[in-house]
Amino acid sequence: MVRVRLENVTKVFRGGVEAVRDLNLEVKDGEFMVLLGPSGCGKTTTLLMIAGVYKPTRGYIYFDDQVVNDLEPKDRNIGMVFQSYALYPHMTVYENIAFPLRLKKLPKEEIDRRVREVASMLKIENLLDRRPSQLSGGQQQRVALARAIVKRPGLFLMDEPLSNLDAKIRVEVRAELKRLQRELGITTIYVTHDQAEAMSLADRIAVMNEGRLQQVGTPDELYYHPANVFVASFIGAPAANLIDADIVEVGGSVFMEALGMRFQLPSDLAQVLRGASKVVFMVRPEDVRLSPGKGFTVFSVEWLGRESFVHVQAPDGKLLRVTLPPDRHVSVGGEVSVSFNYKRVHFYRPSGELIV
Amino acid sequence: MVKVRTILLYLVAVVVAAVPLVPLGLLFALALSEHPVYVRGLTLANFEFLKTGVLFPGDPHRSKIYPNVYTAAANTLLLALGNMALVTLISSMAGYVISRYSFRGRSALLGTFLVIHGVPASVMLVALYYLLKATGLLNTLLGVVLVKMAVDLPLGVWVLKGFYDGIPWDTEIAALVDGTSRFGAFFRVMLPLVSPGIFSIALFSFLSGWGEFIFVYTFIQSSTNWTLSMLIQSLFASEMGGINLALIAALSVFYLVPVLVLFVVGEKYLVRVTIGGVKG
Repeated sequence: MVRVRLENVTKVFRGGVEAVRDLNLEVKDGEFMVLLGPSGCGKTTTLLMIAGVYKPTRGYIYFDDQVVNDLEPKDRNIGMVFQSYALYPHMTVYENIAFPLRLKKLPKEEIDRRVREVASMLKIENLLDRRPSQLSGGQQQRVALARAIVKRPGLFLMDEPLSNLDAKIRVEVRAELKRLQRELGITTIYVTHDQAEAMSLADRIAVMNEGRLQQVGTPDELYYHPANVFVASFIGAPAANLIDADIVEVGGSVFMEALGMRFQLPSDLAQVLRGASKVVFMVRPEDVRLSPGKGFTVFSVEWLGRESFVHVQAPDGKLLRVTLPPDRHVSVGGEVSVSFNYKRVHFYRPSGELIV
Repeated sequence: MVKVRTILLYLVAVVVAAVPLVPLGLLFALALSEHPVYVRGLTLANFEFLKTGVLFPGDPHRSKIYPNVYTAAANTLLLALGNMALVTLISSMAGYVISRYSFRGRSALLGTFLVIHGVPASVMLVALYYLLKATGLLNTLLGVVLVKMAVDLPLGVWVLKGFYDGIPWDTEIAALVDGTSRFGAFFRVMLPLVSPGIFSIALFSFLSGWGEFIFVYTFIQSSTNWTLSMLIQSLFASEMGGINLALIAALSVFYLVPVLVLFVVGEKYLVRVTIGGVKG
């Protein structure tokens, strides 16, 4: 299996559009790496450069220490799955799956054996004689997967393959994909804009925005230690609260002025933040505690069964997102006081970088 | 109880159908007529020329003026096939390149195609005459084929480009990743997927070449290079002492039959071309 490394990769399109800027990334052998980011962030462009469809304007791409910048897609030994499945409409399912093997000029018996093997792995043996137009979305997806797997590639590239599926099927296929990848052990690079999908599938996630890499890490690392404001707001649903705050020092103690109130900061945080003035305060909805008291008003409550999603209004009018366990009940209009789990919060500079 | 609307629709349909059908009917009737000018009786005598291809076999003087019908038919076939082959070949490749690649002058090229397509052929006759004369292609079928091809290419490229545009980029990338070269992707995946478009253009350009008259009239002088359209026209023009309409009609039927057959067989493909290359 293949180890992929991108070194200072930049892609500028005709017209001056910088789709990818100075990307440095390493994907380990057998790893499931997800490229995550909003539309237009450069993740699909990066994927296509790894596939060989686009050539980097600057920088190098390595497969196992070999520079592959000028290598044709057909020589890269990759399997690719697309959001649109991209099956060949004029061929049957069997011929679609057999296509890469036919191009390798393998003997007919070998092709037949491998096609049937992969078809049974993905449970589509009974569809081999049909045409793509006669299949459902989920079935087409499996055929696309089969076609990618059958050539036993060193690298899987997937471009939002689940986006066109129904929500219910998506969750099932997601689990199957993960299991399959573990079983086959093939290095996989997966592109998506859905952070929940990324969190559930990835060994590591690379978050991108506007062509630049924001942070690389395990889902855990990204969730609990986001490196900047963008990652903090992008990962996690409901989204984390990002509040503009001022740090003031009064009588030896450090306070945070935010939401129209003043909060005293614990000593470890105080130490780090003592010199700062304007910051962005980040706290996840589950790290906000509501207790009977004054200061905040309950603005809305959505009971979701497993938890309650509550908006509370601060004295300065801003809304704070809070999730409560199912047994806690608050009513709209009620008064609460708010406290934070300071072990899990983060502070960022106004420009976005992490302070603590 | 039949609705009034249905009756009205059928009436309109009958009237509309009558417009091309009446002249066609007259043509067939004339071809089978015993009298040279009016429709009277029923005979196959006018189709005598089918046996040997010689018109006016009984008249030694006249039979030398006109070329053999089969020679003219062969020329017509050559013109049609040549046009079809060249237009299809070039359009299928040019359409692909214009659809997929961005290059300097692409929009200018497309605009030029549109303009050329809009210019009537007759406007260019004088210039083309001199061009063919200078290249030594005057009075040759090849010259006419090339001119016809040039006139038909803009439409061919537009239609096929439209078909190529309809194939998602992903399908091509999938082929490249699966192991084809750029050429391989073109031949194994793109061409089969635009084959309806190619059939349409092939049919269209064949019929276009088959029915060509004005270029043949202008650029071809020797009667051995005449096509059937020229032959029919010359019968009108040079018959002194009486026109044999029935014979002309019979010849026209002979000329028309392949067109009718192709129209019936390839109707759905031709409709695609005229609608402007919209897929499906």
